[in-house]
Amino acid sequence: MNTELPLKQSVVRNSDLSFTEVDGETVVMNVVTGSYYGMNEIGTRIWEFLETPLSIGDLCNKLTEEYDADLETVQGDLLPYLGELEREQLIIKV
Amino acid sequence: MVNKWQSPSLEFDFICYLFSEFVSTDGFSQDFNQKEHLDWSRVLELLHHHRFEAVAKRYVENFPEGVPEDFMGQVKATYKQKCLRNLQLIGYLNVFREIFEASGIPFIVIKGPLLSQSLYGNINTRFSGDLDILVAPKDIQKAHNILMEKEFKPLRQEGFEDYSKLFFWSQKDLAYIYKNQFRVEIHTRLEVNPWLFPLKTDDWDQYTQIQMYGGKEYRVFTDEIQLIYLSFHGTKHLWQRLFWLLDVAQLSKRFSDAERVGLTTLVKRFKVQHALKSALNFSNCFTTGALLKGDCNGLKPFTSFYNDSWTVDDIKLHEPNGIFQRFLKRFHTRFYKAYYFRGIRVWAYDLASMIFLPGIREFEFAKLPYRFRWAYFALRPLLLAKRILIRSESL
Repeated sequence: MNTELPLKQSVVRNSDLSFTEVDGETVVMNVVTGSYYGMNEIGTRIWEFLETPLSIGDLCNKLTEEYDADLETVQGDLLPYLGELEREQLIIKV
Repeated sequence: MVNKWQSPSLEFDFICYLFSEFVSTDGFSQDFNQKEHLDWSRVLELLHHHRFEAVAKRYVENFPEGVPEDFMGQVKATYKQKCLRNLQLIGYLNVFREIFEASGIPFIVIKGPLLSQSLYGNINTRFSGDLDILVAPKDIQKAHNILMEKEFKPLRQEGFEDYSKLFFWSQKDLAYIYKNQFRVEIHTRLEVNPWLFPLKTDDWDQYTQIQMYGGKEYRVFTDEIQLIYLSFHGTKHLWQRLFWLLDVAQLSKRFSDAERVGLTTLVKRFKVQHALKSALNFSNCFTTGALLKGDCNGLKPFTSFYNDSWTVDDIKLHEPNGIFQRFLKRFHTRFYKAYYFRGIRVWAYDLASMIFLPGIREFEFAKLPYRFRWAYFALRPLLLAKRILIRSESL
């Protein structure tokens, strides 16, 4: 099933979740499901960007600029990742 | 100066070093000079006892040379485990907040991960096992009902259903467990005896402030009350855990000269000079950043015990047969003498409540039926005797 989000879709962190940084990684917890999620450096950066609502297209542009990568690669990696975050209710559509 | 205190162990010196470096500098500027002689398993025990895992983790990151791999691994693993626990507590605190806000029950968060955030800028430095929440006595019945609805399981259920045990139960506050992993204690007071820490419910609003975490608002006590409470709590429990003193040292650094005047006034009003003075003197042994000695002199029952030239080496806490532990016992005795000095009011309160308030005053929902209230008169002396016995044992 293709669950990728469209580029114009804005997303934001789910504010009901608690998170902290442990050893350079962001750990997010969903107390409703009792699940923990660990994010690496890039995941942490994405998490920081999504503190306020942001369209996926803009997020791709920011990451492209910050990591000096080409847009196509970023989109290819980011869209499935955001889809996963959305399925796990770590981010929500706005 | 003649140093009359002998160090009980090198390992405890190491804990003192961690304390001092952590509070006095923003990081670790110099290594512990005798680390090659440390018994690392004993260090680990002391770290756990004094809750210095986060501080130790920062140390091993700064000075990994000479630290056994096994020790380093255990410190990091424990640190991560406790971070996740605090994260879990924050998550449940949010659940708790939503429940109470929806029910219109105001509450104040005491200590816990929010204090860690406030003092150290993150929830990963000061670790907690549970949450402590303060609600007004008038709301306790409503709070209990709503928590029961939300499947919180009371840990002292007999208090609500078995009136015969109410006398003993009433000396404690309510505790609940949620989903078998989240424990929350609901308090209606900071201290059971209102004369020991006379912060009235009506004054709570005046002494609280909003703390933000994760975009959510939580009500917590002002820095002045937190400092007083932490000092009081640590003194009462003989500073068993050195981390409590670290909290006091960290918090006391925030106060400007002008604010100290206000703090002193508040301390005198609450008559907790002895507790704050001991806390500040102890913390001053570890850092030059804490409040100056003599700021809170008013009642001076313990002045003779303090030595202005004390250094970190003089503080020897929680070591078996350590000279500092013996000192604390003497100190504790003095503390209770001061307590008894004000004991007339304490006992007058008990007597008056026995006569005029035969129900447990703040737990309206747990009143005995009127025709059985005479039982309080007969059983009250037993309760008082139990309290005296507990105090005697603690001495």
